[in-house]
Amino acid sequence: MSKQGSGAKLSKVGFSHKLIAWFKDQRRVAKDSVRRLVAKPVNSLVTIAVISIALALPVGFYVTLSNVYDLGERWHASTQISLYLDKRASDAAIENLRLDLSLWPEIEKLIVINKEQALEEFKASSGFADVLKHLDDNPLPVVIEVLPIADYNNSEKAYDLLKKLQQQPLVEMAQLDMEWLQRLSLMLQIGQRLALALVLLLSLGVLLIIGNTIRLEIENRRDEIIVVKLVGGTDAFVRRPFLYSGLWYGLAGGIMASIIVALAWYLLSGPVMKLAGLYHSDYQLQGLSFYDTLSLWGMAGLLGYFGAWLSVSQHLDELEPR
Amino acid sequence: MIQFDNVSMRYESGHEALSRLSFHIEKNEMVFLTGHSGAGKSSLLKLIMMMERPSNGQVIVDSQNLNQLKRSQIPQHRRKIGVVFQNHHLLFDRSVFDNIALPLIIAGYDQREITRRSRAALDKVGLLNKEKQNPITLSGGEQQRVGIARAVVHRPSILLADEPTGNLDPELSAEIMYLFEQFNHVGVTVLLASHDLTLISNLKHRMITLRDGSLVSADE
Repeated sequence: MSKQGSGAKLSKVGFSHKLIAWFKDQRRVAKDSVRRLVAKPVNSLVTIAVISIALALPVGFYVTLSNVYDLGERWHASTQISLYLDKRASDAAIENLRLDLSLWPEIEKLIVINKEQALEEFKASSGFADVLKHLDDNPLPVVIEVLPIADYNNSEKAYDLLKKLQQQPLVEMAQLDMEWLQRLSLMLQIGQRLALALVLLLSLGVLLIIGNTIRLEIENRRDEIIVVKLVGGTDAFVRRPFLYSGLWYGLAGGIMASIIVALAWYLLSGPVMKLAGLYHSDYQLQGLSFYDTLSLWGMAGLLGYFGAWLSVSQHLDELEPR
Repeated sequence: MIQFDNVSMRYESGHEALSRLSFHIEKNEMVFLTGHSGAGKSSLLKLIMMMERPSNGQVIVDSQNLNQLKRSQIPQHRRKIGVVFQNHHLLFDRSVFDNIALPLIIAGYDQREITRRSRAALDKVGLLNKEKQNPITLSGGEQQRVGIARAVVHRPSILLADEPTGNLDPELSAEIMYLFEQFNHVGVTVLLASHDLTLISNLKHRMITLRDGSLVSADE
């Protein structure tokens, strides 16, 4: 720039002044774009509602998944191996085995269920009490319930332990009821992949929605953009209000999505607790954590900003003053 | 202040709007640009504003060769220039004051300075009492004066005008011309395109005449 003439007028505005002016302008534009959203409440609300639904779907799915995961963890934590002993085993031999096993470092706790206890339990829970009366002999074996230490709740280690236990002489059959847990964990993996796909797809949807909304806004403010460019507005200056609009749309959509998820949680948690009560469980439905909620808002805001940015960079060059 | 060296400009359609123009406008000069519509007056102004680029030759404004300016430098260049259009390009979604304040907001002035300078510009064009109105409620002459106030509010060293009196009756046109002369008196270089020869021939300023994109005369 030349030092003479009019250039000097611009340099009267010093750097610190420019920085302050920049911040002030950010605030002005931020406020102005909120005012524009509020000025057309119906349009804005529809857009925000669409965004929030698109966000609430994957978020709701994520919450459901983490609940199922939680439940799985609980069951995992109570992994146990049942050892069905040889029916001919003597009480002394069984006691020996119990003592032996109790020294194993990988075992936390042992419960010996003798034949009589087993029969009583079976009668009480199975409803076959009448049938059992007609049996002369107690058909049930002695069972040792083995609870491994927490480290062995991991399925691979639990299987190793199972194999080791199976090789014990008195053990007729050792059973680890974990196959369905493995299935559950596989299903959860599939669910997570699905959630990821859903997140990507619907994020793309949000980008497109916001991009299109911003495109319309640019179209509506066409004259203004041209005038701004003619009087020396930089691209950043022209872009700014639209980026803020995008940010607000995204953020508002995110907040509304968290409200939708919270509402769904509120409606479901009562029945779920009742159901859990029937299973003697104190299980509680997990909602979105504070951290999750903040991340959701942040991500939604970023999505909005980015969508607006895409739209603005695509359409801004078309609006050169001619 | 403004120098054209062998400048040609061809639109994408192939139409040659300007051919081999060379002239020089001094600092603090006031010059009329005349010619029939389609002679290339608007194209010439667009080159100075960098709304178009020449296909040949060079335009030098304020010692700066515009061919050397990058796209990102265009805004700074435009801030040196005030421009007035025939259809004034006012924004009807905001008040007269906000229209005029726009160049100052863009240049990053603080609020007090914005208010002070905008009021001063409005006062200059005699519309201080209408600052809160929407420009759509103003008459054609008043709208044009708002356009002029916006063009000078950031105190540019160059003022361009494209048919600023195109829609106005002779009396209002004379008033507008008087305004431009006043700005010229305080040191602004003025280049004013008009085909209204009866209006501008009364005023003693240099004329640059175009015909079919070529220079006919650039003399006193």
